[in-house]
Parts: sequence; C-alpha cells; structure tokens
Amino acid sequence: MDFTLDHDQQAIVDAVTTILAKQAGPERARALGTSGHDDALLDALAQAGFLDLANEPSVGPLGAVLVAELASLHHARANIALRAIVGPMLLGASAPTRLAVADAARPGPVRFGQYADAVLILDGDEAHVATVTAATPIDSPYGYPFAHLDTTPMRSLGPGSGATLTNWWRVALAAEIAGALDGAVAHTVQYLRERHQFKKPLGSLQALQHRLAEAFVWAEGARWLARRAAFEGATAAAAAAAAAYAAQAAQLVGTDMHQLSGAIGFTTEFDLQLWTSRLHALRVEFGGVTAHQLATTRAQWG
Amino acid sequence: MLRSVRPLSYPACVHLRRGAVSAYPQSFRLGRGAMEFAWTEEEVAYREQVRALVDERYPTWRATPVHHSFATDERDQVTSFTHELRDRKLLTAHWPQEYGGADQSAWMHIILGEELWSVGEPRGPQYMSVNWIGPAIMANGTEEQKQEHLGRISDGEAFWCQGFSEPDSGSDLASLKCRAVRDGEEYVVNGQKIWTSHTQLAEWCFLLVRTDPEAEPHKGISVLLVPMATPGIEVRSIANVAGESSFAEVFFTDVRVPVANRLGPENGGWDIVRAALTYERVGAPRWHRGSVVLDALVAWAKEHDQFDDPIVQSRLGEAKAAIEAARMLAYRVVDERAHKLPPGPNAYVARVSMVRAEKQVAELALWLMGEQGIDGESLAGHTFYPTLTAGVAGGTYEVQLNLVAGLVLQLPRR
Ligand SMILES: Cc1cc2nc3c(=O)[nH]c(=O)nc-3n(C[C@H](O)[C@H](O)[C@H](O)COP(=O)(O)OP(=O)(O)OC[C@H]3O[C@@H](n4cnc5c(N)ncnc54)[C@H](O)[C@@H]3O)c2cc1C
Repeated sequence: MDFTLDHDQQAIVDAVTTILAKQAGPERARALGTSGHDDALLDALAQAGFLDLANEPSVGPLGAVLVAELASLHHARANIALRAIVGPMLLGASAPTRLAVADAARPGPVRFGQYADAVLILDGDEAHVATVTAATPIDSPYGYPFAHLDTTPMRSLGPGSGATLTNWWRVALAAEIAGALDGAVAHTVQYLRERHQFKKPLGSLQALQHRLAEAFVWAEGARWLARRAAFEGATAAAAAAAAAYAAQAAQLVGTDMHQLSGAIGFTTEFDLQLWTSRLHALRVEFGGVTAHQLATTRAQWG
Repeated sequence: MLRSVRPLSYPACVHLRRGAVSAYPQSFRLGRGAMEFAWTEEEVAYREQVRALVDERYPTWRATPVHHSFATDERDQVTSFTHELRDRKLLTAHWPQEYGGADQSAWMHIILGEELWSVGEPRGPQYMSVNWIGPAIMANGTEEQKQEHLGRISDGEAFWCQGFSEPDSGSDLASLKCRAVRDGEEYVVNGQKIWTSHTQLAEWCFLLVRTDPEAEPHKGISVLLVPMATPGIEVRSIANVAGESSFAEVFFTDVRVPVANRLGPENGGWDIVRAALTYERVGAPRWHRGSVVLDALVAWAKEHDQFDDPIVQSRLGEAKAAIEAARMLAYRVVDERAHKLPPGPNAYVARVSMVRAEKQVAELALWLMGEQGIDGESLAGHTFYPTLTAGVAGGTYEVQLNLVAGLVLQLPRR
C-alpha cells in the first residue's frame, strides 16, 4: 500500500495538467456552453496518448483515473472519463476517440451522445458497440451535452461483458465526480475565506467551517475509493462502493456549496456552478446513488 | 375563538396531544380558543370561490402539468389576472375595507396562495406587494402614502421591487451602505443594490438606505419608497442559473427622493424591515407547491412502474411528512397573524421547515426521475434548480437557524 504517486504517475499528472490549464478551464467551458463539445482538447489528449493509458501495462487504469479526475476538475467539455477508463477496458485499442456509454434498460438521454462516433451499450449480461443513427439533443441545465439516441448495433462484446462495462462505468463516474468535488469544495473554501459579513470572514464561523470540513472529507473519500477501485481492476464491490459514495457526496456537496456561497453562487460568472451542475448529472447517471448502494450490498453480501 | 368546524378532506386533519407542555412558552403560544385544525365555513367558501375562478376562467391551468409556472414578466399577463381577482374581491380579502379589502382573516391570503400556486399562477411580481409591502405601508405609512399605494395594490395594479441586499451586505443586512443624504425636502441617494428581483416590471422600489452613518448599524437605516423611473437609477440584469425570474443590480447616482416618500421615522427603518421580513418568510405557500409536485411524482412513478418499489414509497412518505410539518409550522404563523399578534420568531421556525421540505421534494424529483430528470423541461428539471435558491433568497437558512437558536432557544451568545 502506498498513497503517493510514483515518478511516472506524477509525470502524467503534470503533463495532463499542463494541457488542461492551456486548453480547458472555466472560460473555455463557458464559451462552449453546456451543449458544446471540445474537439480540440479531446484530440490533444488522444494524440498525447492520455486516453489510452488504461491498457499501458506500466500505468494501468489507475493512471486513467488520474486523467479523469483532472479533466473533470478543469471542466473539460468532452467525454474523457468514460473514454479513458471504459473505452480501453472494453474495446482495447479499437476504442474510437469520440465514445459515449449508454444502458439499454434506461430510457434517459445519453451524455455526449450527439458527439459520439460509437456508443457502448449495456444490454443485460452483454455489452455491444453501436453507431448512432439519430441524435436528438435536449435542453439541460446540467453542464453536459445530452441527447436521446437511435442506434444500430455493430458487434457484441460477448457474454459477461455487461458486468465488465457496469463496473468500469462506475469507476469512471466515481473518478469524474471526485474531480468535480475537489473543485467545488476548494472554490467554496476560498470564497468563504474572502467573503466578509458581520465584520469577519464567513470562513471564520465555526458552523460554516464544519460544513466545509465535512464536504472536504466526502471529496477525499470519493477520490480514494475511485483510485482503489481502479487499482483493483474494478471488482464489482469496489466499483459499486466507489460510485455509491461518490454519488452521495455529489448530492451533498453539489447542494451545500451553493447554500454556503449565497446568491452569487447562482450567477453564471461564478465558477462554482460549472462543477455542481455536472455533479448533479453524474450522480443520477446509471441508476444513481440507490442503484450503486444496492449493487454494493449485493456484491458484498448478496 | 370558536370556529365552526366542518370536516374537510383538505388538508388532512392533524391531531396534537392535548395538554402538551412546551419548554419554550414564547414560541408555542397559540390562539385563544380551543385548539383545532379545521377550516371555518367562510374559509371553505373562499377557497371554493378561488377554485371556481380558475375553473371558469382559466380551465387549462389545472390541466397543465404541475411544473409549468405562468410566472411572467409580461405586465398585461399579470394584471389581467389580478384585475379578475380584484373584481371578485379575492385579491386582498384579508385587508381592512378602507384599504380595498374585505376585513377577512389572514387565512384568506394563504388560501388564495395555495390554490393559485398549485396551478402555476402568474402573480409572481405582485406577490410581495400584497404580502408585505402593503401591510408595511398600512402599519407605518402617512395618510398620503396609504392613499397613493394601498389602492393600487388592492387593485392589482402595483409592481414593486425589494431593494435590500448590497454586494457587501447580504446576511449582514444591517451593514448596508447605500446612502441617503438630506437636502432640504429631498434625500439624495447614492449607492448600489444587488439581487433585486422583478426589476423588469417594478414601478416602485422599497429601498433601504443609510441615513445616519454615525449611529449603530441598525439604528441608522430608513425606508424610502422610490419610483423606479427617477433619474439616476440604472438597472443591470445578472445572468443566473437558478431558473428563477432573473435578478439585477440597481445603481443609484444622485437620485432625488422627496422626504415625503420616507416610510416611518428617519433611522427607524430596521423595525419596519424586521416585521416585513417575517411576513416575507411565510407569505408564499411553497409547501403547497411541494405537495402538488409530490402528487405529480406519484403519478410519474406509477406510470413508470416504480411506485411499487418500497424505497420509492419510503422516500415519498418522508417528503410528504416534511411538507405537512412545514404546512403546520407555517399555519401557526398565519394563526398568529389572524389573532393580530405582532410578528414573532415562529416565522423563522416555519421558514426552516419550509426550506427543508421544499429541498426534500426537489431532491426526490431528481432521484426518482434519474436521467429522465436531466431534461430541463421535465418535472425534476422545473423543480430542482429553482429550489436550490430556497435556502438563500429571503434570508438564508443559516440565518434562520441563528434566529431560532437565539430568539427561541435563547442560547447564550459567544
Ligand atoms: C433568487 C433570489 C432572489 C433574491 N431577491 C432579492 C430581492 O428581490 N431583493 C433583495 O434585496 N435581495 C434579494 N436576494 C438576496 C438575498 O436576500 C441574499 O442572497 C441573502 O440575504 C444572503 O446574502 P448573500 O447572498 O450575500 O450571502 P452571504 O451573506 O454572503 O452568505 C453566504 C453564506 O454564509 C452564511 N452565513 C452568513 N452569515 C452567517 C452567520 N452569522 N452564521 C452562519 N452562517 C452565516 C449564509 O447563510 C450563507 O450560507 C435574492 C436572492 C436570491 C437567491
């Protein structure tokens, strides 16, 4: 057990952060809008190999989780977590750069569906790859482009692939949530440090300190559960627990940081909503917190 | 007060243990008659009148999905409706006759709100005028001010905005800096307000200004009633994600306001504001909308084969109980008003429970609908985002908790 990044992992974090600092961030996210897609960023990360780390023997899925966390922290407007984690683990080197993931059993809209060259579809026990025949985008305040899709199946990934997809999807969700939690909490901590009311920084009030401290602990828990689940190869139990914890954290942090920021938190110019709007989308994806909790229990004791 | 009791399906009767002794006598003071929770015949009749108006004149409203709100910034859409309420003597029934009311009890305002919010009524920008601006003018205004404003409000004509918050004065409202300096028979106002709702239609601003910068913060504040068309007022709207009607910044540069437009004594604004805020906190029957949303969620769950799931039922029950608790705690405040008691801290207790209940319903909507609730046009889409602001607008949740802790529980200060 070792909680520190090794030399290679640190190098990945540094390099990805450099790309994201230059090409992503709040201004870029605002310019693209919630329905936009960052082709340039996705291509830059793909060309540098950062979307296919999960299959690199020296790095593995844990490296992909680091990429996913950072992309989410920096508001990347592309399907990076699912592509970097689920893509390589299910499709290997054949994963297309623009990939979306959907569950045939759930009728909701698909994140980044209108921008996908292929969709990985969970269909009970099996997963299959499909192409998009029609995409109907929806109007959503939740920080990502969404669309209802008509698809044509291309090939099945065989019996058992459904479980593999389920588990890696949960890891990807947890990693993406962890990155956004990190941003939302840090932003609120900084804001309450600076915001003065009653002649003192609001961050000096113990009632608010406790709320921030609790949020921080949720964010930390989500991050380390996602990393461990990736390291363990997304066992059903580890993946479900990571997603369950992260989804619950997303609900609490995604609402409480707004409460603590006051009215300014609802303005589009305040960065907080760029993280929280996505947290609310992520926490309901793939059945949401209750489905992940039930899966945790079944995997552990079922 | 003996109320003629008529069994009602609405809302479900609630039984309290008689003779229960409260540890907090101040906050649990109730009416003078025997405790009971039924509606009087007048109240029932009034509710039926309101429902009849909706059914006769706006038959599509009840049929429109619950999440649809007609709240609008189109003046005519609001006034065509408020005039109809006025003509049927429903708009300000709880006001005294001399000000355009019908001398009925404070309950009428709540009944009106419950019936109309549940069908998505368009009165949004006029809500505050009937709810707390009118009462503040009745209690503190000069004869001229009452003449000028109360008739217009009870006629459904008046559009106001609330100029309280400033960039550096949110929760600490008493620290506000917008300055009014006396110059003969006028005040000259300079400063800025922020988060002001409904500026698009507002003709008047209920403005808080600092008239004595030397005094203690809450002893140097006055209320000015300011026409929004006065030269020197500039409004800039603020883009927001809350889904509520937009809010704005309002800038005041050498704005001249007659001294005759001051409400109440110079430097006596704080008491007026405190009373007004307790009205604001319970004025809008948000619990009722929550309860209507819950009914719609049940219908959705049934339609989508989810209603039989015990987890779904448990969460629906949890939210329903929260809504009913909020309803009772809010009704207690209305009861105090009906008994003409001065505004007290029960309004803060009610507000806490209202915010909690509303958030629980919104959370349930998103949880239940899952990915289908991501659509901005879905029931969850119309509920979740607007509700995020519930614990901030009109005084934050935490400030209400501070007030409950201090004024009701009388905990020691640090
Ligand atoms: C939708 C909406 C509509 C609005 N409309 C109007 C309007 O029409 N007119 C108007 O004047 N204002 C309006 N407001 C502003 C509203 O009154 C303020 O947002 C509110 O008073 C809080 O101020 P703030 O946003 O500056 O938060 P802050 O005061 O900065 O508070 C930030 C956080 O710190 C907490 N906090 C502050 N002090 C304490 C304390 N002592 N103890 C514990 N916690 C504390 C708060 O609860 C909050 O969680 C509106 C706001 C919203 C969201």
